[in-house]
Amino acid sequence: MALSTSNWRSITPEQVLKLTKPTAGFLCPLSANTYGIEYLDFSILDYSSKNVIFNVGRDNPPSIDLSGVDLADIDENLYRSIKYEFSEDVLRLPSIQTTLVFCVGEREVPGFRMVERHYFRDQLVKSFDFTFGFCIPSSTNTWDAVYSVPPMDEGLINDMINNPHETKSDSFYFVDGQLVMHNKASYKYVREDAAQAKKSYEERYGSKRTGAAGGAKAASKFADEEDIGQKALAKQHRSSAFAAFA
Amino acid sequence: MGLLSILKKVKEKEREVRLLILGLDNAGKTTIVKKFNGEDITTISPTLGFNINTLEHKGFKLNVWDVGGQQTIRSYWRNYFEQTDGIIWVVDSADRARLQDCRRELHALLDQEKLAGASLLVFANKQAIDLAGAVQSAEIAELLDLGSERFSTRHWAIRACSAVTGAGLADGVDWVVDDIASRIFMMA
Repeated sequence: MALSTSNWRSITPEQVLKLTKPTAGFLCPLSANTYGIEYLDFSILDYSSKNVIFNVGRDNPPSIDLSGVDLADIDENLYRSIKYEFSEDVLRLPSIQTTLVFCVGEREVPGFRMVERHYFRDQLVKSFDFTFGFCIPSSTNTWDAVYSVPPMDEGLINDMINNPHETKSDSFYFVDGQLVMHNKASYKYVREDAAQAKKSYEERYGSKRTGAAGGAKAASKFADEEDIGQKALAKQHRSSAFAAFA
Repeated sequence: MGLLSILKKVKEKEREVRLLILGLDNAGKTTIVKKFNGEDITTISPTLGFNINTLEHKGFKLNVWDVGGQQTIRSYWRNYFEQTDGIIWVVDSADRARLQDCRRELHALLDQEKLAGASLLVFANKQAIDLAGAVQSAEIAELLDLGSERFSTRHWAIRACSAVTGAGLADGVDWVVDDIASRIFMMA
């Protein structure tokens, strides 16, 4: 039986752990989150230098891309699809630290579990399965995870960089085995020379926070230009990259 | 060999250890974890829930559950006992007024059946902050009755530490991980 919103109440962690490509839509309605689980902050650090590579949170909201969106069509689902933009460094760092801060409502949350599936072009790249367990009513909780990332094939890394937003993930959250949240994300990796441009932009225009926003735009423009020239190259790499998954 | 099979191999090889850090509020539980992890400890607020730290240490994957110590939260501690390999009990050595509270909570905790087999490390924290006021760890061991009959079958150790300077932290964590490893992983 295909997984779909119509039977979302019966979807299990074991089922989503078998998924091999991004789902077509969201597997549960927003209203499934009856526990008031809310994300407050998410950041990625280079573990050895502790440099913050990425941060999104209440004080630093993500930019929702509204270009090409018919404002009449905006629905709730827009807010559970996030477009991330990272430096390519993220793909190469030996160990990264992710920090997730979330709060829960006034009810006890038993058996809270996250399953996250990462894909590049309908091919599974990474899968995370973590059980937070019990959450205290009205609590704010943090999960810091340090990963040693096994080195990725350079061909695959290049493919991911050259094909922005074709790296995608589905995050499924369960309480006591029942699906309560489903978020989607897509990723764009910006080349290091472009990321350097972002850094010097920040230096020039001062304030780190405002600089980061403006810098990211400059960086992405740079990367887009590069993409055009490298698309043919990426195609060549693709076969070798997928060979690594065989 | 593909990436997925490498990931799978790593996971199979991985030796996971679950540590539970408890103690009264303001004992320094979160500061200890952050300092051990090399993080900034300048702005730490009371934990109103849990902080989970997943990290690698000497070939082990440690899942460290640091749960808030405020009185209203303590009744929820029992929800985190399952599958705990080691307990790190943090004591504010300078807070003499609450050492009796501290002892009572520790004893109640260790009466829990689910924690019967868990190794116990006591961190006598804040030793360097106020040397005059801080009780030496031997004295804390005595105040907590660690030498009594109820602890006779327990694997336990006490280590003086300072979460602020980091002194003593690695030594304590090494002890608890080694003790768990000798109990669990070397049996096979």
